Amino acid sequence: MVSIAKRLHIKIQDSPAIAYTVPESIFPYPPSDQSVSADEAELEFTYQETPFSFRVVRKANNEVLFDSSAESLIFQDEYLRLRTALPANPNLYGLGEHADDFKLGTTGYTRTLWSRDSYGIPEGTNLYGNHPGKSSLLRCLQ
Amino acid sequence: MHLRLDSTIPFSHLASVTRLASKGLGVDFFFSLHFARSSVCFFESWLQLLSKVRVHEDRQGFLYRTLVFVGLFFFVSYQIWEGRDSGRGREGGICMICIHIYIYLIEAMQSPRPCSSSSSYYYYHYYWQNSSTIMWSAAAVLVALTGALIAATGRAFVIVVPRQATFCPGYSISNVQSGNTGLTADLSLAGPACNSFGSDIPSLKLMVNYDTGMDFFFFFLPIHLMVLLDEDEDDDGDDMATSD
Repeated sequence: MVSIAKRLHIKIQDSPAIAYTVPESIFPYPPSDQSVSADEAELEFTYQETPFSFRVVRKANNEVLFDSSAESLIFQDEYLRLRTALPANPNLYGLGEHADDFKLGTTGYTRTLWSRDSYGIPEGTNLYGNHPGKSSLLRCLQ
Repeated sequence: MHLRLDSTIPFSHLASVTRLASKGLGVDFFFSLHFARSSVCFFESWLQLLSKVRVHEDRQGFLYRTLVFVGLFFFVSYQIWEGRDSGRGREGGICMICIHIYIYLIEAMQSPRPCSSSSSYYYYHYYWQNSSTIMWSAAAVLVALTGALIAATGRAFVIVVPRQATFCPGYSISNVQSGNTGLTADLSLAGPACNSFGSDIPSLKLMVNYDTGMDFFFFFLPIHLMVLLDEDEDDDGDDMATSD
């Protein structure tokens, strides 16, 4: 089977590494034998030097999948900020437990990442679990 | 359109918790209100209290009336505020007043003198001459006022938080090591730290790697879990077959 060079792994870590990161036993990094060269890859990583920001572009149609240039990166011991632009009419899912629609709102919508037991399970607020990850479904190429 | 991955303490919680707690308590209080023995007597004196304009009455009465009016002001403004965008908080606001009324009802029920049609003014005086009543009343008014204040202003706290983070310097990239399958680099703070929520980490490492997308999901399933799933499947199948 022909391998599909569709994955790009980006990690930003404090130096020296003190902050907790999810262990490899739970979230394994891609093994080195699955690496492909930048030329073979279907995605491209580009960056701005100062202030640092990066973009992930799908080479086939120049579609921007991730773009952090709107605001600078913040990496503090109690706060992280990584901002990305979304495509038009995005399909967003994830970001913790809540009582809102499965597909998240994208206009003036705030998803607080803070675990709490909330009486009455009100809409538009956070609940027991928070998961700082999102998935964004984009149009397929073929 | 933008997605922010911010992690901050949500100050809106205080408001929503207060709203919902008062809503829950208020329902109980409201039912008690209907069963209270001297509710008619109470309302009579309460209305009289509100309608009295003379200032030379006893001071507590005047103080109380002022507080009631201030409380009502916040209550009404809160109702308008909430009613504007969602009807959900209305009951919460109403029940603030229910708590308020209820505590007075308890006091009314404890009165040794039954309410008669001609004695509501006398009742009012008796009410305020009892010092423990005054204490309870003051506490009730304070509770109602505080609740109404938090409920009315709570919305304002929501918007404010991440403003100061706008002025953070970001990082600049250096020591970029491009390999065949990706790159590594150092990131260092591009200006004075803003320390908006905790301290800025001065130096970071960036790692970028291009990979294939094969067999990705199979990594997540530990071997012992796979075994369990297999066994469960067999057991369930047998049980279903025999029980049916």
